[in-house]
Amino acid sequence: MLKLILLLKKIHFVLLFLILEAVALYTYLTKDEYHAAETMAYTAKASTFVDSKISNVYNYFQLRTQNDILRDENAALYSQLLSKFDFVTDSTIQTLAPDVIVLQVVKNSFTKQQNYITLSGGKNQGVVKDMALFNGHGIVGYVLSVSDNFAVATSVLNTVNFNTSGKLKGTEYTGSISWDGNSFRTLKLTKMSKYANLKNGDTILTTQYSNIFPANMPIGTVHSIKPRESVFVEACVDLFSDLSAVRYVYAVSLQKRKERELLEEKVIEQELK
Amino acid sequence: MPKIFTYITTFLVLALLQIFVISHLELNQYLNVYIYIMIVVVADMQIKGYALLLLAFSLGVIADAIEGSPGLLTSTMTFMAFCRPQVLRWIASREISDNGGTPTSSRLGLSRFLSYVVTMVTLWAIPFFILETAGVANTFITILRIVLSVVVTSVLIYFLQLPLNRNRYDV
Repeated sequence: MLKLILLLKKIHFVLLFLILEAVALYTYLTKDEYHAAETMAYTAKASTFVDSKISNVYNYFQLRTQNDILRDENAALYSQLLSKFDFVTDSTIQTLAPDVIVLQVVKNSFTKQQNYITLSGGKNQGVVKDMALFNGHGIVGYVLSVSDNFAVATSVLNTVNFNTSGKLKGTEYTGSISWDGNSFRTLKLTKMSKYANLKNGDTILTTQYSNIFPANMPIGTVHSIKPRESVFVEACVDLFSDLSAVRYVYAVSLQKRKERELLEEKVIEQELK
Repeated sequence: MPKIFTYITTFLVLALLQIFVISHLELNQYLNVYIYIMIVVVADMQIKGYALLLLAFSLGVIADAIEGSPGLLTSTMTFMAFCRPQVLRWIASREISDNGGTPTSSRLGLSRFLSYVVTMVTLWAIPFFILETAGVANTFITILRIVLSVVVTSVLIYFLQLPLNRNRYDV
């Protein structure tokens, strides 16, 4: 017994380190991104008041730039209206909720591997989980967690939470869109058929396969196309939205999303049985 | 004032600096500065090893809650605390570390202090960025992020410890 106590006394530092490190690594490796965002939304409450004040001061000095951005966004929206641009191709597949909510960005990161956006709008303003976020240029992210007056969204610059499908404009060829953690201006398009005949400068849009993003929302333009496997190509997609300078976003939700999700989950569950 | 309150106060100051200033300065997409780790760097040289581990672990949990990265800062700050006694043994002379007090540039000498800070920050940054980018295969970008973050964090720690030099305030 005495020997054991002496041994423990001798190795207590290494032993304590191993225990603490194991707990920390286990927490990190088994983390749930949704709960992490919820915790962040909760702890962010304390800083959000000051954050919004800082944001107000910043906005004051940025008024001219913001006006220019808003003017450009309005112009882009007008041009979409004039060309009868419609985010939704088939109302039987996707129907947009009637209200588009404008939200101010209180906090935004783009230098990490998992980037989040804190928005000044929550349940009281009609924001719900899984709302798609976009600006006048293209997609920005989607809402992950909501409190009464704030929401935390995952940015498209998130290597874990963001993954959607993208299609080549004017065709039905689709691929997978995600972020590889490198440039904040570029997403990765994978699993796109080589028969799509992808070219530099082609536009990639969202598809009706998504339960979050309405179809035909602009994502970005293609460059650096590389062949992958036998029938696929991979490419970089330059984002239309500049994620380093997002001050306002529009939030929209799909009305039949819940019904579709439940049905899809039910089928998967039945297959697993 | 008991040491634990000094550590908590210092951590609060660092957390406020991180939340309200550093987090708003998105200078470069490859640059991540987490000034919370300074608490492990400037802890008293006489602090018991187990106490430093527990301090780094518990403050890491709080930093992770703020940053929304459960376990990431906790594990890397704990690793840093584990390595610190050995790093101090290598860099500071026995006489200096036995006297205790905060390891500042006036106590260790400028070159020793910079070696100490850069070593400590590197010991944090390597596991941090490897863990953060797990599954993302881009070694060059990860190395770039480590180098940039080590340089900027070390410079920041150097300037932030200057008042400790002047006031002879020990953390």
